[in-house]
Amino acid sequence: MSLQTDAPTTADSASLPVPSRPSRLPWVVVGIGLVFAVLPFVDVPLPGVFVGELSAPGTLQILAIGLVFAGLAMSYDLLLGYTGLLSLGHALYFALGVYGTNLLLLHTDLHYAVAVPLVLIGVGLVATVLGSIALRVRGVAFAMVTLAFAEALHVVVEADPLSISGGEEGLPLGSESIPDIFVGVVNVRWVYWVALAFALAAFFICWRAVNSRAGRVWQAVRENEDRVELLGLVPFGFKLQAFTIASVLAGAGGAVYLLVIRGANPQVASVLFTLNVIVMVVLGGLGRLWGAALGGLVFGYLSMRLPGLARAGVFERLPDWLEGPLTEPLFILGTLFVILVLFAPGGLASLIERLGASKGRR
Amino acid sequence: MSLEVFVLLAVTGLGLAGLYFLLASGLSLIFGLMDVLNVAHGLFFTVGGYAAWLVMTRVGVASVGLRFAIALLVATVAGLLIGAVVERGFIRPLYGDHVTQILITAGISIAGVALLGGWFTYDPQTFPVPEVFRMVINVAGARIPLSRLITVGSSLVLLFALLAFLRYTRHGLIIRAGVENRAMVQALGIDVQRSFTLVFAIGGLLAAIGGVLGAVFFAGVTPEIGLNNLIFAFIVVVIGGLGSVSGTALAAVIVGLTQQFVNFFAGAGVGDLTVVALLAITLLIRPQGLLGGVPR
Amino acid sequence: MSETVDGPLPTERAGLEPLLSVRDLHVHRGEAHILQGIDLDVAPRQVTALLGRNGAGKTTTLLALLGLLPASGEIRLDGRQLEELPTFKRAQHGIAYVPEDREVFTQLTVAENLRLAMQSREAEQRLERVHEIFPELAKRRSQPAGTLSGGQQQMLALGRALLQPASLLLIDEPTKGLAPIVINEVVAALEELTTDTTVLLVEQNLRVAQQLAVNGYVLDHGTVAWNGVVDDLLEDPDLTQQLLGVAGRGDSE
Repeated sequence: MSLQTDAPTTADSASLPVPSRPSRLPWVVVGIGLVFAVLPFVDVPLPGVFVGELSAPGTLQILAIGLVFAGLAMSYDLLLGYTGLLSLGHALYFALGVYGTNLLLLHTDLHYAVAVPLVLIGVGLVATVLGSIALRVRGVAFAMVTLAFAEALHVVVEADPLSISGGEEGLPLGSESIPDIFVGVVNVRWVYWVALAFALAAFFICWRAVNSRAGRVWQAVRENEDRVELLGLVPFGFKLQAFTIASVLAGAGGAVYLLVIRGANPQVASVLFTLNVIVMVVLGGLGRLWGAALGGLVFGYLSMRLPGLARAGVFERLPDWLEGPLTEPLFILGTLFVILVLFAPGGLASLIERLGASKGRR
Repeated sequence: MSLEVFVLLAVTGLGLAGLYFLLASGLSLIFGLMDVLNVAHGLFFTVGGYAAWLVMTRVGVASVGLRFAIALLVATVAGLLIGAVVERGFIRPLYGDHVTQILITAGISIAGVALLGGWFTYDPQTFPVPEVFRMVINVAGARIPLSRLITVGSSLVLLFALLAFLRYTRHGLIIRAGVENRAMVQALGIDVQRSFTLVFAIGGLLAAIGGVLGAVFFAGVTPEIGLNNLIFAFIVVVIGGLGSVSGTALAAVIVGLTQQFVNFFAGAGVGDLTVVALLAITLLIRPQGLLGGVPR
Repeated sequence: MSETVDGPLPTERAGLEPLLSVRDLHVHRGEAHILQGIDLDVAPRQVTALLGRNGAGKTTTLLALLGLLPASGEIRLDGRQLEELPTFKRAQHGIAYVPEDREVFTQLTVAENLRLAMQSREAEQRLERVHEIFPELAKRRSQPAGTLSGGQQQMLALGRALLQPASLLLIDEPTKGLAPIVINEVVAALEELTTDTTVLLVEQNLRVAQQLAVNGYVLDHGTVAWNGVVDDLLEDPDLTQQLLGVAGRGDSE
């Protein structure tokens, strides 16, 4: 808007957000982490919620996907929720993690534990370069540039000009180079623990980051970028920092996802995948790490579980025009997302907080 | 390069440019006027394609030509309606919050694609087209499918119709002024929000006609056809300059031709990458786009 | 620091029914409290000046009156409450606005800029008058407004405001950035058209303000620091120095 005011720009009243009081959240997360960690030993069935016991490979597989998505969603929350950067290209870094790791495993003798750090260094470099180009513009232009970069990778992966990415078919996991404990259905629990470790690590890294001085500058940038400049700080560097951290975390998520689904699929590079990540974060609650994590878990669970329900004939008695869409998890998630955006802007997290608050009052 | 290959690539590239223009012009006006990046715009395109498919395969009119005319009409109305409904139902309640408006269009896009997938599966749906679309004519030794030329021609007609609307009607005047300075339009006593619904409806209409032509061009319609083309439409919008219809048309031609020629000569996918590179170069050298007025 | 005045407003002293009356107008921006309870009255058919240093809140006041900034307080125009209305309704109820940087639509032609502001049949007659006052606009009707000179853009912005069925003109620094000769031209036009129009004028050029305005207000840090007859203020160098930070009449840029 071009109408300007002669209002005093009070640099003195603009200060960084005050650090929030010490929170119990990390301890709660540690507790939840412990509960998740022992699930592979719990032979209790949860009929309806999961097929088979909690410790069943199928259940752990679904939970592992949910945990990867939880970590991925938190990394995106750093961008949109904390720094106010609407990226439409987060899939790029996740896909780099998936494909980069898999290619190293397939074409070198590197151990998984060596390949992943190498890939993450690469992802960090790519994010720094592409981020410094994209961050030259703000707002919607930024969204479009990130989208275009991500689409470039998607095109390469699908067209596969060097015949290395497997094109539309994708690329099965190079399983010779990974430890035996990650191979085979019996060993899903190990993969599950890796996913859990990733989600927990993502939380603590994000938590440290947003509560650091830099993290408070990110939030100030989100509120009002011009005012951050008035404080004598350069928003560009801080935004690039958030962008790079979030991208590397997404890359790590990709490396874990490769183990979980045992292969690389070009869909993880598509714009639809980025939109899914946005749905996770907003569904859970933008700007709250635990909300984003919850959104990722819910998204992972529903997207894996709803087709199963459909196969089990749960929707069979419904008319065709309803049955078709209801077997599409993205229809239900997308609709839920739209409803939440309109009627509960804080997502599931704010609904839970409100519930907690009203209970507290009683 | 032989002349016939050149002509065929050029006509195909221009056809693609026409489709991009139909998607991107509405997107550009919506963005210019309202600062909303409408991720659901691809869905408008897809809806047009499915509307045409439904009419062509389910309406009991013997003449294919007449059925196609009905299909075009139905798609146009469907596009107009879905555009207006999305603006009124989802964008307007979030007025003033651009990020959330963009997010909700992303949600609509996801849910819409899945809804169509649930109804009609993800397989390409093809439909019979009028005889004239299957004719081939000879241009400079190249055998050009007439359907390509029809796509180019229809897009040109719609481009001039849109330019005339913007230039010669009061609504068009308000939209052009609003793209430049929304607040000042309001200060002149004009309810600019009424134009919001209008540009969404126009955008939906153009995209839906694009969807009908696209279903013919790509030989089938899938739930993701709109989203796939939307990415290139975004690129066209940025290169052309946000809010500029002529800029959008120019950029659509550049993008469509570049993509065709480079994909043909340098290998599938390279053209797409080149287009992305064009976008990056535009943003670095001329962030306001080719014909964009005010840098944003 | 200047203290807020609690005395009667100029219109009250003159026993005039104000056309515009504003009470307790507040504007917040983030944590900044930009307008801190402005009271002002604008008498009909004369120019009221809104003076003050840079950043005192003058333009903010105009934007708040138009509803282009969120504000609280009472705004009454010709007996009608406006504070709840959106901007375009306020304009329809009779406020026309000539912004600080003209804000003509640069991509539109002169004629299109004017046509945009014409929403009734009477506007046709007003257009004739606008063309009389600013013959330049008639001559350059098909030229894009972006190619006009600063002075011509100012005339276009004024002409556009005159086409609206307005009872009150809000004019923000009409002489800003113009060459002295052009300033004279613009002031002459303003003098002609303000004989029968109500104007709230923001002006840094005190000579121009004195030439056009009868009553005036001085804002300081978002409050009214002084109000009264403009001549009284500008003929008192000490007061002028204290309120506006300039040496005296006519010396400001």
